[in-house]
Amino acid sequence: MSIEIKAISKDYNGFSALKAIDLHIQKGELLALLGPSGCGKTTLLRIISGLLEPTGGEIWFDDINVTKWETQKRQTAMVFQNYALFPHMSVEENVGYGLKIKHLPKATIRKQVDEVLEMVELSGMNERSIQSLSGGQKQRAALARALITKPKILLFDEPLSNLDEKLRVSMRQEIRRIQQSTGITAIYVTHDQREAMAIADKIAVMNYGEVLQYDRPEAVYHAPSNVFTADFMGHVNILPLSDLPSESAFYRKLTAGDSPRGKSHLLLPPNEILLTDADTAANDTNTLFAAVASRELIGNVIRYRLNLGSINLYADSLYRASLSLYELGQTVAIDFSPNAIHLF
Amino acid sequence: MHLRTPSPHKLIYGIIFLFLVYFILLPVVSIVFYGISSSDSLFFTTKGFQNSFIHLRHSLSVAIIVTIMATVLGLILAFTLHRMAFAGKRVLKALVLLPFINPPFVGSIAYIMLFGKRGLITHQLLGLTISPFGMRGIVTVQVLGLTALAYLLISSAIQKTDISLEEAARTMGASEGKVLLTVTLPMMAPEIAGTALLVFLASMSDFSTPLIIGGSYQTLASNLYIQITGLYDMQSAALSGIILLLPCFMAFWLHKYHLSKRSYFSDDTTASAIVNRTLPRHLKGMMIGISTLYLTFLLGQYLFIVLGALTKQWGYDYTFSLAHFQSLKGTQIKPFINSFKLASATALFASGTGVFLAYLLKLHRPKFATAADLFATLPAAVPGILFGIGYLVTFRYPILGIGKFWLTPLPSIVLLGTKAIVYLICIARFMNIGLRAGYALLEHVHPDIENASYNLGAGQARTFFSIMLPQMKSAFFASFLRSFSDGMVTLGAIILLIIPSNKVAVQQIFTVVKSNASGDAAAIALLLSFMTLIFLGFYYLLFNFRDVIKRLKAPFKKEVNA
Repeated sequence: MSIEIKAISKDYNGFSALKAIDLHIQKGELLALLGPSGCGKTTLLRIISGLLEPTGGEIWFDDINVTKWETQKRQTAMVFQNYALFPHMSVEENVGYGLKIKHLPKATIRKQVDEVLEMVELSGMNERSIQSLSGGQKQRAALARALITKPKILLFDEPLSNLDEKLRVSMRQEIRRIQQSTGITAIYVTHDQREAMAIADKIAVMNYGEVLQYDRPEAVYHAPSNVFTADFMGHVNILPLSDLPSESAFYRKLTAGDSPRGKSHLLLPPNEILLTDADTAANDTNTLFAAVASRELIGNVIRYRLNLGSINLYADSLYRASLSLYELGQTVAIDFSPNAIHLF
Repeated sequence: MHLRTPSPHKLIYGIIFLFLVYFILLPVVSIVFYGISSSDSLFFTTKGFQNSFIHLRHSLSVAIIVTIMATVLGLILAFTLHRMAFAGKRVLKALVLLPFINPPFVGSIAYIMLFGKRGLITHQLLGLTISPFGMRGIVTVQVLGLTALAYLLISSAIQKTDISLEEAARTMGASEGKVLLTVTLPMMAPEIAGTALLVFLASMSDFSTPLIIGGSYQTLASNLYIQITGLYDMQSAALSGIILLLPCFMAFWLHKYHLSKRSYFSDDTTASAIVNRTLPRHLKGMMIGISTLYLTFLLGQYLFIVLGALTKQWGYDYTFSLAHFQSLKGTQIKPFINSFKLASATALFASGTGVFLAYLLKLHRPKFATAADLFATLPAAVPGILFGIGYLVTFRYPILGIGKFWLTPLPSIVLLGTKAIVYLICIARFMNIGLRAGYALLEHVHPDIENASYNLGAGQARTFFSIMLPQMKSAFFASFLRSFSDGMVTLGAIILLIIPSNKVAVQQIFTVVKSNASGDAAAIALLLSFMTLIFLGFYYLLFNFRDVIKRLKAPFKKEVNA
């Protein structure tokens, strides 16, 4: 089922939590709503599910305007951040809840529960109490409970934020696998940009109740359209063009690939910067020199902070045992391809 | 978690433990022994036995009906006021807090004024002179009073429920009714059952309502009073007491050891402004209607108390008069002073020891901690009047009771008949308020903060006074205010122990109500609750002195800054 969000807004006593959001989600797609806490992403999710009423705008599922529909009618199953499993019921009762309220025969419920538990790899846990499950198992049970109703739309509200790093990675792969195999349209709220990139077909970056960029993950990451998105996606070398002296060799090199007209910022990924010893570099007017201000070991990468005049620049180089490191205060030559620069 | 326990702590714990054994355990055990060790009492005649069971039946019938009605009403009120949006909700929310400043016997007095022999409805409107006293009256008055208790307990449960569970059910297609039946109510079941048991206990313990408006329909608790004050048959009283104790202990045991263990609530859910927008209209209307009706009755009670106090002679002469207040002047001021002294002193001691005991039991786990906790909370299960009888049979003998066994010829140093015994029984009864406040507070205090202080080099005394004491302050204040307002209107426990020189105001009202002078009773009751309110305000200001001063200064500060 495709989802059309038309100028949805939400006000809380004069505060605008959402400002006329427009989004279109294709059938079978997984959209990630990405943003910091308080950006309105959860509010939007709840409006789509019908748990919240928008102040203005419309929600369409396929060709039907569902804005006035109540939650129960929308068939949007939600997976909650705190799992929201019913503590007074067993795993089977929790998962079968959606079918029981439809008064399906017991045997049918049992069969479908077993099927869906197998899908989330919880087979045989039917009689376990919720309290006895681990965090990851609770998440699987919550997912099973959402899937069993065969919803038209799956909604995820930061479902993995209570799990540890390793489990998060394997769970998000599993969610993606299940979503793709069932082909259910899904919306996934998260504040983790890596999770969003890993899982989503499209990402909507949100801040202060607005969608700042809505595109495929590669585009959002490599070609951010604004400073907030660039920063939120984890980029470091975001340089305002106004800060750069336009006569310098650095500026000329930066703008060699693309015209800076109408643009305000540029992005230079640190892994695109090549460092060489100042002594061995060809000493002509186009060679750029910088001083090492600090260095930091991030796993297999060394990240140098460089001073290029008044400009701070980060450069990454792969760590190898055979490679000698640059010392603090040392002058290095830098080089990069103008094609690696993204202007926006 | 085991912490190093400073030796002064151990000493104080020892003293508190002795107090608990002596002034709580011993009196309760005494009732049982005193009751079964006697064979010459009236009770063992077939008639005595029969009577007791009639009273038990009365007690249970009233308690069960009241429990069901008050709990259901409390539930409806709590859901209406916490989960629905409608005009006038704020007014209702404020009104429902009225029982906090409940004048004693407000329900009974209003009931007499309306339905008594010369009642407004029975006599003036219907022209009857019959007495419609009995079970219906007791149930009405108790339901009105105890619904407020049920509402408060259930409200706190509603505010703690995890809303996302209900939302989950809704997204799966469950209708509002289904959500309520399969998720919300089962989640709250332990709390609802707990509320019902507390209402049941309160109803079983109530001796004054049946006495005032029960007519010939007396319950076990009220009959205890009659047996002691009318028939002077302490042994029969002790035996009926045992019969009364059994259901009360059962309710208490269920509450303490079963229900509190299975609670589903998490600490971190905030659910203040949840509104069910898809509730069927007629259901919503019905719930608001019932809530409004209840609150109208509640308000009506107060209205009639005020009217009664300002009417010359209710039932005969309905002209405006201040005579009831004027008659309070002079001689009758002493009971008010006594009430104030009793409530203040016992609140101070009971809250102090209660909170300190909570700290010791929770953080230091001393020997016999389970026993100490049980003894301290026991008075919550024993009806006040029965507890009083326990004191009566225990402390009749010299040297605080133990003299019974070897000092029988010595009549001196009998605790009974002194002012002290009334103070002691109130401290014993109210200590569990402090204990519970302390427990609730310590839920949020990590045991390691004491260790952190030791680790930074602070001594035991310093750690206690500069780290732990300030933490426990708020629990003490909360407990003090609660104990104080309870102490101002407590009657059951002390009515049999009080001597004329320390008569308290509630007792005054009780005597006057029983003699059917509802106007006088209304006037004293109003005055007493007014006084309680003023002193509560005074203590509140005292405890929050700094805050209040800060807030008073704030507007001036702003001007200076500007």
